[in-house]
Amino acid sequence: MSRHLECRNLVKAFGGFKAVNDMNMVVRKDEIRAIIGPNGAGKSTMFNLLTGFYPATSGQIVYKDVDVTKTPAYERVKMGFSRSFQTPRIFPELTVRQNVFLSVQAYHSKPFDLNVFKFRALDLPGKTEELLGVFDFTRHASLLAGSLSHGDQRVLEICMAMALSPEVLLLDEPTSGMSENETQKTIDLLMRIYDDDPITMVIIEHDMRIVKRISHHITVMHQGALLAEGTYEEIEANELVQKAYFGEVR
Amino acid sequence: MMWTRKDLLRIGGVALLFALLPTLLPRVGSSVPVGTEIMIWGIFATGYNILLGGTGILSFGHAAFFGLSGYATGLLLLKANLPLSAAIPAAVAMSLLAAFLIGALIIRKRGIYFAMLTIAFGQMFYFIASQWNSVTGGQDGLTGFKRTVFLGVDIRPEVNFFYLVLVFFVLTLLLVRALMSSSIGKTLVAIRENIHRAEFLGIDVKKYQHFAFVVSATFSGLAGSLYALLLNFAFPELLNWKTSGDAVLMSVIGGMRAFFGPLVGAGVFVFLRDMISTMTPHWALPLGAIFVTFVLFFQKGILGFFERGKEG
Repeated sequence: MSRHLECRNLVKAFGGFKAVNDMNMVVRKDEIRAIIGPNGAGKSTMFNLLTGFYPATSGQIVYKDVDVTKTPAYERVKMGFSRSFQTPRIFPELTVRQNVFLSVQAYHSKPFDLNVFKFRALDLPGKTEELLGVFDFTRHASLLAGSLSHGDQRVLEICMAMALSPEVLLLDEPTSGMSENETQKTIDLLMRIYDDDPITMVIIEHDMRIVKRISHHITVMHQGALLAEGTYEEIEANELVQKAYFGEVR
Repeated sequence: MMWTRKDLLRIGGVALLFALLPTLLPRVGSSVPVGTEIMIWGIFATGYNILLGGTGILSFGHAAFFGLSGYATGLLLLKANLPLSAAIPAAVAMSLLAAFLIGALIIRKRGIYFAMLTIAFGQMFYFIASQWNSVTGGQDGLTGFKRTVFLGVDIRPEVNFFYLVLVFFVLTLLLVRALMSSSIGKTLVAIRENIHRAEFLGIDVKKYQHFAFVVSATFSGLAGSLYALLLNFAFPELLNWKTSGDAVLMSVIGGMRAFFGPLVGAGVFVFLRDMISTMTPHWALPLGAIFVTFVLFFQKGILGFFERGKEG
């Protein structure tokens, strides 16, 4: 098992407040890693550092043995990163099909790519329809993305993230705001994607049943730093975690 | 294909309609230069809308590129004795270069900060034009140059110049249409729709925004050059940020999400301005009221109102 994504002594300070404070983590290739922790533990900030959405104050981010700490977000995407946001970032005034098409096109494009022949040979519309099918959007493909339910918008964002054929997929609370039913469907979908073709997934999740079901390892964050790491059983038995996390939240 | 058949039919239809204007306009009490002006503002607004409607960036600085090219055209004719066929491209190239440099400096700023900086840079050009008397003629403007012959065609008569502008106008429509339906145009739309999602699709957002800024400014330059030739005159107000505001106004009135929106806006703007200014010197007042009406009640503009939900 090789090291796929790693952060070393990572710090993010907003003014005097350190949202991420000396965080260390190693994600192995093709594992599903859950990041948990009480509200304000720094999970989302950590995500934003890993993906390049925020610049790190100090520390290192290493991806496939390459230091990407200063690599801009869009270049990390070209290296195999893909992410979703806590509130879906989609193209609300375009149709579902256009949303997915733009993702497919982006994946197959170099900067300012005008190679019409290449695009035609790649059959981008065909690839778009294929993805729409996998994510069960075929019937809604002509709707404006902004008119979808919140849950469907989140699934659409995952679909767009998957259009980039990522090597590491980072999902920020993929099921928050979803109904019980939608949550089940989404998790099933994620597992189906993983079983078909395993990739590295890093998932922030609050719902412990989901964490238990999908993750191979769990990273627990507390006050911007690593509190514990291990399998679900190990984390469940960990006293520190119980005190900081289970005790506090519910 | 760079254009669909529908694109070609629509642009062809517009070209045909405009080709008839020199015969039609005098019959309705208007004149040929009004048609020329509508096309020039049409070039300005259609190009400008690559940035506003296409990429979602508001600039109040495009008058600088419009005016810069207008002055450059006049000066190149007057001081360098260049033929028109060289002066127009050279002037347009200057706008392109200026936009490239200014864009490189300010494109990292977002939203309101970017808009403020475009005003600042635009006004800088404006004050240079109005103060540098020895070169620009200062507040009196630049006079003494005359359009003469373009590639062997005598463009002194209003009608001949009209048809020259028509050629540039149709080329502009074709080029902008091709750009916006290309993968680059779709990438610009992605950036407009959600800048963060675009970034996380692996798009170098700043580079594309810079590109859109430069391309739109190049069309501003073309329009400015033709405008100076229409009037045989360049004056500081061309560079005033209010001229940039006019482009915003045209895009909003016509509909910035529709390809022909800015052109329709330009037509309505020039027509109304000419009509109202014969009645009152305060023509900006009713025009402002119309603008407010559109922003409040018809956000998608005239074309957007008629064809809802359709896009590129």
